[in-house]
Amino acid sequence: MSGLYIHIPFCRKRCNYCDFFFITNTKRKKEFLNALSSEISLLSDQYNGEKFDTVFFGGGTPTVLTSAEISDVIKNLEDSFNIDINSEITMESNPEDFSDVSTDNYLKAGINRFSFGVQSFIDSELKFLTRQHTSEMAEQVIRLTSSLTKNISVDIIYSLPLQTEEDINYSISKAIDCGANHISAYSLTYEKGTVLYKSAEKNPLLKKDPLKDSEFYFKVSERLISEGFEHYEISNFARPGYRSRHNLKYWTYKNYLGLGPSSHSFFFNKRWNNLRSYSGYVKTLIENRLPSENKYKPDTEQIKLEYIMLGLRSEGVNFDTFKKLTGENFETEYKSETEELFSAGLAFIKDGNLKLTEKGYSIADEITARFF
Amino acid sequence: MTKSNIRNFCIIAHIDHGKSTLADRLLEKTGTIEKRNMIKQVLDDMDLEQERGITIKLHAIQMKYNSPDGEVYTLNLIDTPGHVDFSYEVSRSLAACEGALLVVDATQGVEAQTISNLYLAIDNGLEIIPVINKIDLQNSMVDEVTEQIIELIGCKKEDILLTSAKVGTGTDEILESIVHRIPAAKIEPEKPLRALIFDSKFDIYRGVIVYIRVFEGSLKPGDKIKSFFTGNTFEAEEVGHLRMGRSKSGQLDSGDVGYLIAGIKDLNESKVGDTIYRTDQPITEPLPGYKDVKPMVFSGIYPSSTEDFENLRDSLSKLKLNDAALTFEPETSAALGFGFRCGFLGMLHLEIIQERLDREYNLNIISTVPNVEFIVYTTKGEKLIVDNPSLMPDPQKIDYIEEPYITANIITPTEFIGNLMKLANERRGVFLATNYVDAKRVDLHFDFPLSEIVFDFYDKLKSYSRGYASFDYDFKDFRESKLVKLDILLNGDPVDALSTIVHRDKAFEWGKKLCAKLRQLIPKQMYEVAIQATIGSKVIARETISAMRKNVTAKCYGGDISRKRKLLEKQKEGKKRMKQIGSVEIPQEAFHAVLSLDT
Ligand SMILES: Nc1nc2c(ncn2[C@@H]2O[C@H](COP(=O)(O)OP(=O)(O)O)[C@@H](O)[C@H]2O)c(=O)[nH]1
Ligand code: SF4
Ligand SMILES: [Mg+2]
Repeated sequence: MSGLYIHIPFCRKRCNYCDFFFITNTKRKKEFLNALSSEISLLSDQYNGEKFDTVFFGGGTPTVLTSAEISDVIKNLEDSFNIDINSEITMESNPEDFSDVSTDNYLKAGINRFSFGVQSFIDSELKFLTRQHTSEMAEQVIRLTSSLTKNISVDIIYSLPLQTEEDINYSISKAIDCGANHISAYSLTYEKGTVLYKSAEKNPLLKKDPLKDSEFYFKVSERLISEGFEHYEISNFARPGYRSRHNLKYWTYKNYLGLGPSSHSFFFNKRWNNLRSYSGYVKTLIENRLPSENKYKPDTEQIKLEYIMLGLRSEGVNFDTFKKLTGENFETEYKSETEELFSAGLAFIKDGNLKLTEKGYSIADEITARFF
Repeated sequence: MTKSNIRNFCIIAHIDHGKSTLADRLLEKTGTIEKRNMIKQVLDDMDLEQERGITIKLHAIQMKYNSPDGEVYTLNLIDTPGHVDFSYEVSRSLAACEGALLVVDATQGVEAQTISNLYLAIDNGLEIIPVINKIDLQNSMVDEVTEQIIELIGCKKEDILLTSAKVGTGTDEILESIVHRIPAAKIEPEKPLRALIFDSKFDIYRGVIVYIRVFEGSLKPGDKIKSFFTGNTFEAEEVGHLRMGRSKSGQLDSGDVGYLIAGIKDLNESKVGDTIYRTDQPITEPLPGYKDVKPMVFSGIYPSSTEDFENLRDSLSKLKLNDAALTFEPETSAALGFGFRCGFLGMLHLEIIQERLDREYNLNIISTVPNVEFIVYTTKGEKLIVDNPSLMPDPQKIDYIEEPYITANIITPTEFIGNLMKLANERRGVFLATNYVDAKRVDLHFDFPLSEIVFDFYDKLKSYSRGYASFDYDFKDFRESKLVKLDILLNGDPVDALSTIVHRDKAFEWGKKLCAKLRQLIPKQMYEVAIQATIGSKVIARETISAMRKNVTAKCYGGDISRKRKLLEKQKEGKKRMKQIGSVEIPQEAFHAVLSLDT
């Protein structure tokens, strides 16, 4: 079964470290929702033979949409696509958008998994990241949500300048305490073009300390693993039964269809993306055309690399899947590479999968490059 | 024997003292070239030469000079290379002349190459005309330099000419001195042909063009000729003089300097220093001074990517067409794959070749640390020539090893004597003598193992003397030394391309420094890398490169897999500049680590 991704291209204000695609003029919500409807109807015929069991509202900030608006979109999706009744339906959620009744309303609209963009439970850190909420707001919203559903994920960012080990432990403990059963822990990255990137260029104190970064990486993993979380992808941890089924589609080479501007798709052996322009997206759909571009079919070599790259980052390179995708035998093809990894304690084989160890995860890019 | 109006001469000088500039003035003044057609310093015609300000290949040029005495003279100026790596070629050029202008920079005074070139000129019996150049400069020290020159060659003050080659002052006096002080070329047309090859070059259309000085007899197209030492016979196709280009003539006569084209395919069929004679006029004695030049410094040159091996071979062959001194033989290295062991006259020669491979042939190469040649006497009584450290036999099979020694002159202001003695000591120098050039300058005479001056000696010399000392050397002999082979192991695997031969007393320090340097140069790997320096089976130094800590982009790009893949492809591209040895990736600079050791 496949996944559906809906990109909601609105944020109220840009966070200083963020390079995702969105606009801040939320007055254009109606216009966008109309365009999205057109996109859904344009796609529905083509995909009527396909089954979907995950839906993911990402952004931007999907909670810019009211529960009524979300409800409409979900209904529309259910009418147009073959969506399994046990689907995982996730919504990235910003705490500042929630009132006492929001969670309940979103649940009623069909959302069954909340992924909270919290980043930290320390106000000074939130301020540094120019987030719109306070730790208190986040705590309240998550606790309330947790009384209604257990399917809660929290995003945390580590490796902030001046952050101490206690700081990062505090945020993690708090997330768990509030009821998160899934945690995505990202190391702060300085993306070109962001405000943070520019400040770091001027102020060396803001630069990332690679030593500290790797230390924190291991600390975060240790902490979460000791709390009963499984490290199932480089940056993702979940209690048993709480992995993100949607994200696993990306990592296990399953099909997914992206809607909304800048979304990515992988279907019928092809990859493509939607226009990374709000007006371009809307305009194309008004003309009744699909806003997709850069469509290509990865060749076998690219498939190999992509699959190895994704597999090593998450649940492992599955030998049967590899054979199906490329026609080649992974174990014989990469004998010396894998042996090297075993002897260095960077990987192991389990149930027909080559999986990285904790140490292996931390240098996954280096390891992947070895297979190129 | 009749007197002729031909004068054959050369200009000798320490580098940058103004040899090329003065040559330009002479060419201009004699109307050989017009001023407006003149590119600066016409004698250095290779890009690299112009850039480095040194003359690598010899050239000769003929001028017609109308003297105030009413006679028209033919002046052949033979240019000489300016660097010690090419001292044999210098000596052959000098042998083609009767006189030399000894140019000394008025702001610098006598330097090492002034002296070594002067000695070569005196050895060849040349008349020396001392010239102090750059007198236009404010900081010129004409009196002091005059003293130095008098001390050096024992001439009179009046014998020394003053000039500014840049401005053109003194050019007339120089021309007059050339015709009146330098002996006329002897004319002996009745004797059998004896012509000296003082240079040669390869032309893709004509084959080898040899530059010759005809001492006796004459040579014309159609003559059957033979090289005395190589024993090859040819038929002369074309002869002529050297003007701004080649100027064909019916015949070259006794006293002439000119060129010869004779269907010669390879520079080695007609070597510099050899004597050409006519097969119908056999000779018993060749002209003196022939030497078979041998490479002194060796280095393995490998293509960065294995596909370039044939390319590299072609490029080396092409370079060799014009460079008889360059040698290369295929070799293999466990670390670097297929490549060539190349031989060079010296470090400058090596650098020039490396640079030309890069610039003119666009080849990305890895070269191993240069080494000298060793003579190894085994316990079985065999004598082996070893020009690649990794091929050194096991210590227990070696009776003793000999290494090449050079003899060197270091000219320095006296205040640096102490420093330079210390440097010489560090480099295993054998002190021979000091000669005072004048009250303030001294000529220190040492023998050194060649291997000790191959690496950064020149830079050290300069820094120990605040740039004032200069240095020149000549090969001397082979001597027994306590040498050991130092191997480098990475995670237990020896890296043949990093083996070096060092003196036993220096091995420990060397090993320690080399390991430390490699630790800096080799990036962190997926796992810990042990670097060891060993002599035989004994580990004498060790360093560890800790494992890479983190290399993963934590950010999730949603479904944007292409972007992620492209990032990794880029990372892989960066790795292409590394050599994988065993499980360790080594950047190319590491193979030159030894060169940047601070010893
Ligand atoms: N001021 C001045 N500079 C000179 C004179 N002769 C040569 N030079 C400069 O000294 C440098 C070296 O001269 P060059 O002829 O290339 O020296 P070479 O290495 O002996 O051939 C160049 O920058 C010349 O322009 C001179 O008489 N006066
Ligand atoms: S809320 Fe999320 S998408 Fe919006 S600016 Fe902040 S980090 Fe970026
Ligand atoms: Mg010059």
